[in-house]
Amino acid sequence: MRNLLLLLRASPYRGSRAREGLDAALLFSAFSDNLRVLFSGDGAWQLQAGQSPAAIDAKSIAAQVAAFELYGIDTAGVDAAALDARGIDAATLPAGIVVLDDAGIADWLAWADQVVTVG
Amino acid sequence: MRYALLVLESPAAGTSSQAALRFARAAVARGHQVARVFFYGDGVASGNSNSCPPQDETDHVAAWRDFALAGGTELVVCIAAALRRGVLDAGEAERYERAAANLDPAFVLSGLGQLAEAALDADRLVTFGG
Repeated sequence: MRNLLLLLRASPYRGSRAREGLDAALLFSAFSDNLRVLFSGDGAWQLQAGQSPAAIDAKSIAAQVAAFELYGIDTAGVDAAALDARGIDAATLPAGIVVLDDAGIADWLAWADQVVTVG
Repeated sequence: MRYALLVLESPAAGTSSQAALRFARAAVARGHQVARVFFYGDGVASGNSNSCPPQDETDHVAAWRDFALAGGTELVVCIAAALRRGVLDAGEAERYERAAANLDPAFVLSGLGQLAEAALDADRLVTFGG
C-alpha cells in the first residue's frame, strides 16, 4: 500500500477549498490505512479553536476535523512555523494533531509516495 | 509512466487548467499514459459546456474535449464540487429540478473515490492549482 500525504493549505472560510480538502481527507481514509494529513500555511487556521463562522453565515468546518479520529485518521499534523506566524497556541489544537518542526515535515514528505495538495 | 492529474482551479481564474492540459499533451506525446484527469473544487468549471469564450480566445472546454477524444484519458468531474457550482449532467439536473444540464459530454460526474484511486494507482498524481 502506498503512503499518501494530503496537504491542506487553505484558510477555512474562503470559498469551499478547505471544506473540500477535509472531505477528501475523510474519503481517502476509506481507501488507505497509510494516510497522513498535514495542515500548513493558512491551513493552520482550520485548527483554530473557538471559531464562530455563523457570524459570517458560514458553516463550521470543526466537525470535519473532529471526525478524523472516527474515520481512523490517527496521523495528522500541523507546521509549527505556520502556528507561530499566526499566533495560534499549540495547546488549543484539536486532540490528536501533532506539531511538526521543519525536520518533522521533511520526514513526512520523505515518507510519502504521493503528496496531494487538495485543500 | 502512468499519470493522473488533479485540477483545482477554474480556467477563467488562473492558468492551472491550461497548464494541466499542456502537461497532458506533452506526456502523451512522449509515450506516457494520462489515465485520468480529476477536476475538483473550482476546477469543475473546465467541464461547463455553457461557457462561451470570445472567438479569439481559447475554448478550454473544447480543448479538453478534443484531448479526451484522442483517446485514453478519462475526464472525471467531482460530483459534490460540481453540484455546489452548478455544473450538472442530465441526471443531476433532473434530480435537483434545475432547468439545464451543462456538463460537456466528454466529462463524467463521479465521486472523490476516483481521486483516491488515482492517487493509489497512478505512478504519479500531479496537482495543478493546489
